[in-house]
Amino acid sequence: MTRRPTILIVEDEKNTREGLDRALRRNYQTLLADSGERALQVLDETPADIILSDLRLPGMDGLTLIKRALANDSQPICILLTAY
Amino acid sequence: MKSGFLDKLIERLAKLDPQSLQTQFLRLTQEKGLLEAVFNALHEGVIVLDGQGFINYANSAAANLLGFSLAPAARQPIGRILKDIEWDRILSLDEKAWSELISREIEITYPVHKILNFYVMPIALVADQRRGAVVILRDITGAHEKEMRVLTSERMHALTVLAAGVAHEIGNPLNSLHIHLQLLERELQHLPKATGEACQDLVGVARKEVERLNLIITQFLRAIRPTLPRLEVCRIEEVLQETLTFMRPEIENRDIMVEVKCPDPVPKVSVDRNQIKQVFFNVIKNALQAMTQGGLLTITLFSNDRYLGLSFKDTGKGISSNDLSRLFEPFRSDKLQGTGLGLIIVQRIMQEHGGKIEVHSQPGAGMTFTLFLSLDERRIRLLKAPRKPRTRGSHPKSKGTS
Repeated sequence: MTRRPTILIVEDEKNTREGLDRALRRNYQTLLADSGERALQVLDETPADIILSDLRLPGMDGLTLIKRALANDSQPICILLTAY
Repeated sequence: MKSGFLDKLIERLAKLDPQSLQTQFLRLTQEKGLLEAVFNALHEGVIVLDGQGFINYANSAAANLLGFSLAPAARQPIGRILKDIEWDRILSLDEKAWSELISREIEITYPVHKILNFYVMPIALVADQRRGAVVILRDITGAHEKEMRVLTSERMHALTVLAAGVAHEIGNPLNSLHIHLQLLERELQHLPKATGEACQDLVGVARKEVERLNLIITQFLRAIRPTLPRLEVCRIEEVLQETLTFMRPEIENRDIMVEVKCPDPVPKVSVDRNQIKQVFFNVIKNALQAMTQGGLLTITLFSNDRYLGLSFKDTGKGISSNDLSRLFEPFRSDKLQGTGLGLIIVQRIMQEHGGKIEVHSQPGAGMTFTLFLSLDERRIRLLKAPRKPRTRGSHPKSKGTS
């Protein structure tokens, strides 16, 4: 059986984060973080194949998080979520 | 004219011979004429009152501002012309109070609505040694209006920021709600068919409502958020064709014919392509929704040396003049799927482009929506060479109906 890809969901809204988790956990191994800082800690322990992050986050914003994540050796696919 | 000169003249009056008396008299008359000319040239209104509040003198600016004619005004009580002011109190103030300037703003409605800054200063009238007063009036309507505009726009800006913030915050729970409804829909697939389908219907309604809320918020933010247009020189007929191509499925679906009348050449204009496309989209959508199956939308491009105009004429039901005045009010849609914000977006974008909108309509006779975009440079008006205007038309008709 092939390994399920790992996806890191970064979202400060609890319900949205958990909703995305439930929607994706069937096909992905999901990791959750409620802030950019927390997301970087998670990435230190477990590298992710995909990062799905909200643009607006308390503290570090999604764009900064993605830049920091892409500076590492592993080059995850990054998807930014934003409201108009 | 120095008062020293007058004092000397008065002292020597008895000793003057008729010849010098006449010379001095003429000189005084000339000076009086000069002063009157100066007073009448002033923008400020000047009224001189005696101690009882009767008008001794008024310059023409005062007469114009307050709407009285000069001749009969003399010896009229000021209270008859400038009402709502306690003249009795002002004129009976003691020396000390008189020494302070009395100033206030007043609003008058006759002969035209104006805001006047008005101040009264005491003077000693030479002739009878009694007191009198000078009333000086300054028209501050323009400055006042400007101040009000700034206040209104600041208040509007604060409200806009607040409303945009609220709308954006609503977006988060809405997003979460949408995700959970999708999850619920997925779970329902595992239920027995009959129960599952009934529940699917319920969830379907809820999802549609969430989508409608989302549309309202997106449109609302688009309507109120000021976005500076990124101007580029455009061929407007291309932008129009792109919009029509994009809308073709809806046009065909409603079995509506679109005719574009376009002169050759169309002057280029500087616009924000995407924003103007949004304007065309909203105006065309409005026209389509006003027509039942099988209407005709005629889009005519025309220009003069200042503007490029685009008129969108539909054969829909039209609206009454009463409704016409409310056309640009938010949330006033009479359509089933409208948010009532489409035309506000059109208005905002056109305003930011320095353009104009004209709407003509009669109930039963359709509506014509005309957009005017100003040309980059005023073209030099040239005589037209005789040439037959070319007409270009597109007729997207739906298949299978005729």
